[in-house]
Amino acid sequence: MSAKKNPVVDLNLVPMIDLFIVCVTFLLMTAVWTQTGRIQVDQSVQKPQPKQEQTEPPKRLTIMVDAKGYMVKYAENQPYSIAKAGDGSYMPDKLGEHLKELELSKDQKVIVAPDDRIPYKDMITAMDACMMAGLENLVVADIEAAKNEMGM
Amino acid sequence: MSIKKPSSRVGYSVRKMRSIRVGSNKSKRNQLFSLNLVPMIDMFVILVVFLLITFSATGEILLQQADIELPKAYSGRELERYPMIAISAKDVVFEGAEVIRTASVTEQNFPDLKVPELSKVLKTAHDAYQSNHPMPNDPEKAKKWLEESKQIIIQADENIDFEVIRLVITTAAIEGYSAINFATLKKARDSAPAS
Repeated sequence: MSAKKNPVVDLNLVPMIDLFIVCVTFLLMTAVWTQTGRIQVDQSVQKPQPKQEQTEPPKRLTIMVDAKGYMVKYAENQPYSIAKAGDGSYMPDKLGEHLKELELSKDQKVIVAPDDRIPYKDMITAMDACMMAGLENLVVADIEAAKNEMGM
Repeated sequence: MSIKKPSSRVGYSVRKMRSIRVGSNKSKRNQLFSLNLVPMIDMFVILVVFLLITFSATGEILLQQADIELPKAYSGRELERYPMIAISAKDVVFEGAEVIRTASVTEQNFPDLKVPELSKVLKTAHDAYQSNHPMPNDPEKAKKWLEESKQIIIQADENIDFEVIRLVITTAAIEGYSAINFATLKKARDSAPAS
């Protein structure tokens, strides 16, 4: 009775391949191809604080973005201009270098004040340069308000 | 020399595919050949593993509108799910619903820097969030709750004038959304300028 016939072990691979195809298609369709990020700014309106003992006021750093280029004003320093390049593009690298030269602390508040006619991308470029220089405490302001505060 | 029947192997089940009659001499003998499926399965496994690793993202948080080209930036934190205002060249949209035409968002039209149409929907959303998520009693959790309730994402086209952005973020800040998150497309670090 010993069967001489070997049982044919046949692994049916077709359902497995079907599954793989479905899996690959699903993953390709649901894949997130673009990586998005966020640049956070704090626009909270600060309430006037009651007068306490006189301490040194925080040094203000303002970056104005207008049609000519960037202008950086830090504390009582003279404004530092970074003009646009010959092709009309902004120079965020130079802005980053200047910010690094100032050796500011990470908590330094940076006021980015673009002109009303400046495209949004140029504001983001300036903010990106600040973040690359390690300054993440960003605030957006109106350029006119920033100029008034600086007495320009 | 006779043709031997090949032994059982993976892919043997596709028997019908393998047996064709060849030769013009009307030979009745069949020449067998098989489709080896092993490399194909290997490739599929590698492809599935690669896709799972590369795109095992936390999901598509940002529903990007077709008419919005986001600005690009090297830096930026991970995006989280918060209420979103999308500003295209055509209109301003809050959570998928059109609010106002972008062209009409100017300081001339709204000298007090508050866009009433947007203000209304933001207030409704903020109130709904606060009623659905009551402030926890624990001070630590309450602090976190307060931070969360202030967050909003601005998804704007890169060529929109800053004036529109300024009016929108001022309106958002008035309605309690003071932590503004500008959505950006991440540039590769490799192409970052040397500093």
